[in-house]
Amino acid sequence: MKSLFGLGCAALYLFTSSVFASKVNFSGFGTIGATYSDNEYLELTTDFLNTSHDGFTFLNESKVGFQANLALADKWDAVGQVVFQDRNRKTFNEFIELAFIRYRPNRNWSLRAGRVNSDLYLLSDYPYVGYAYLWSRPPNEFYSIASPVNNFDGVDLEYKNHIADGFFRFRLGYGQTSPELQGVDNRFGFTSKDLILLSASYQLNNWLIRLTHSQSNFDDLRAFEFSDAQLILEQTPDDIWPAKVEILDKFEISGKSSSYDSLGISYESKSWLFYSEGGISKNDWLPFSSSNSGYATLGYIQEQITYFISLSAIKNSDKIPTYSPPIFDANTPPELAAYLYAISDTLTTILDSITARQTTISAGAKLDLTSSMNIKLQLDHTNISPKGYGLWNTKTPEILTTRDKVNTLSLSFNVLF
Amino acid sequence: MKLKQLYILLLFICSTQAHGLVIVVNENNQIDNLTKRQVIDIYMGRFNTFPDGQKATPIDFPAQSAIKSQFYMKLLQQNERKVNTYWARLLFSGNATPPTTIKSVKDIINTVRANKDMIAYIPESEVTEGVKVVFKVVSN
Repeated sequence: MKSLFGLGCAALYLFTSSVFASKVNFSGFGTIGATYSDNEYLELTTDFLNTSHDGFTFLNESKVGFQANLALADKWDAVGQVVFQDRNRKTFNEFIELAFIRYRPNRNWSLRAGRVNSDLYLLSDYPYVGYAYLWSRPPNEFYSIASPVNNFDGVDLEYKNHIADGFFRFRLGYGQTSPELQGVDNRFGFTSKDLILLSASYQLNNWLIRLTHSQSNFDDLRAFEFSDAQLILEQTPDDIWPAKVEILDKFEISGKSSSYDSLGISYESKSWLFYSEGGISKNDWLPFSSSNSGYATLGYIQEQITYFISLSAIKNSDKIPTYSPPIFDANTPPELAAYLYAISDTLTTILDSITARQTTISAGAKLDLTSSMNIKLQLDHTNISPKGYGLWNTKTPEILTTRDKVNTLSLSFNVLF
Repeated sequence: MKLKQLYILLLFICSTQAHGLVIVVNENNQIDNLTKRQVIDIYMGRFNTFPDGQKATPIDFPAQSAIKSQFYMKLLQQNERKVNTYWARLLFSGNATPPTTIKSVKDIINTVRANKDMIAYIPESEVTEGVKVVFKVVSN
């Protein structure tokens, strides 16, 4: 699949720099966003691929994107898009959102290859185009965990046509993606391989409904600290830490899989807007615990201002295991005991922090300045349950077992160019 | 002087609205008629071809022009802001590119005359030789 992504990039380069491109359109979008969150122990994570910040910051929501659309030979075109934002890993590859070539044999079918968007959520086609959606920030409970599969390297096939009075679109995709995420103390990465995505949407008048399913296999864990801990655990005698076999199995990434199913509905009329999505995520790799999440947003348009309220929630659906600490005797080497204590402490922190259980109530307004600029203001009030801090980066493990709340204020200016 | 300009402006608006808007294509295009849904399909990026499979390249008037507002309001009952939001979604998801923008009716007609795949909306009163009307834009 890396070769397919390479093919997409190479085609884009060739076509932009040669006579192959019969027509090139450049466009872009940008957001200058300021956020303030009032909990000194929690750092806001608006996107699992981005760094997290507390207090006042421009880094959570500000971004700029550039896109090139290339009309190639008859029935062929290509799209490249880069979005610069505060990624965990700042290599150019992490900023490339789209890089694909497309073949349209007829008006109903199209085939894309390269880095393509996943179409798994209502906004997953354009998650970084702040101008194009209502919120200052899409509901965190639903969208922050979605970002690792916003795009993937592979192929997808699309069919679209009218059915009765509505418009139907179906996509089938296959590929892989390798996100870099922020862990408890350090960054880590993995690969979702054999990724299969199915989405079907139907639009009728003001209504849009979308059903999606995806599944993948976890592989290629990139976490140096975990590899060290794994080595020590493997060499630890079973009688010192009987739980080590199960711990090693739960954290082993090979052979573990993931699936996701969602339903989204949107309604957009002259005066009213309604958006709602719900998703069920099932994972058998422990660090990515299973969860149910969703949101509902109601908006009212009055001239150039759209007011909205929103309720969103995420709840872990796995029972998180607990493990007895290691048992030492007089013969245990002090160095091994120190290592195992450290591993046991870190394990407790990980188990307390991998699940997300929280609810957010939001209210805000969007002011349309021109046909390509808007300003948004949004206030979120989030209640977090004990051991439910999975969507936040916590500065101190002591708070993980307590209930807490956070208020977040966002002001953003969004533009198309 | 200002009254005279206002009179000319009103006259222009009245004449445009009285004649309405029509969709035109090159006179050599195989298509003779389009339905409202087929026009929406092309102008809203659902399909990039005419119903017979021939490539379709829609032409738009510039942002914030009266004729553009009138067209989208009549065709979709949507203002320009909503249409722009729709196109931002479609463009930056890589699905389609917005219609080509041309400033004057005269240039639009010349472009349609010169290209078999072009499609445009113009005031009915401006229809000339070299283009053919395939749809008359009316509100629901």
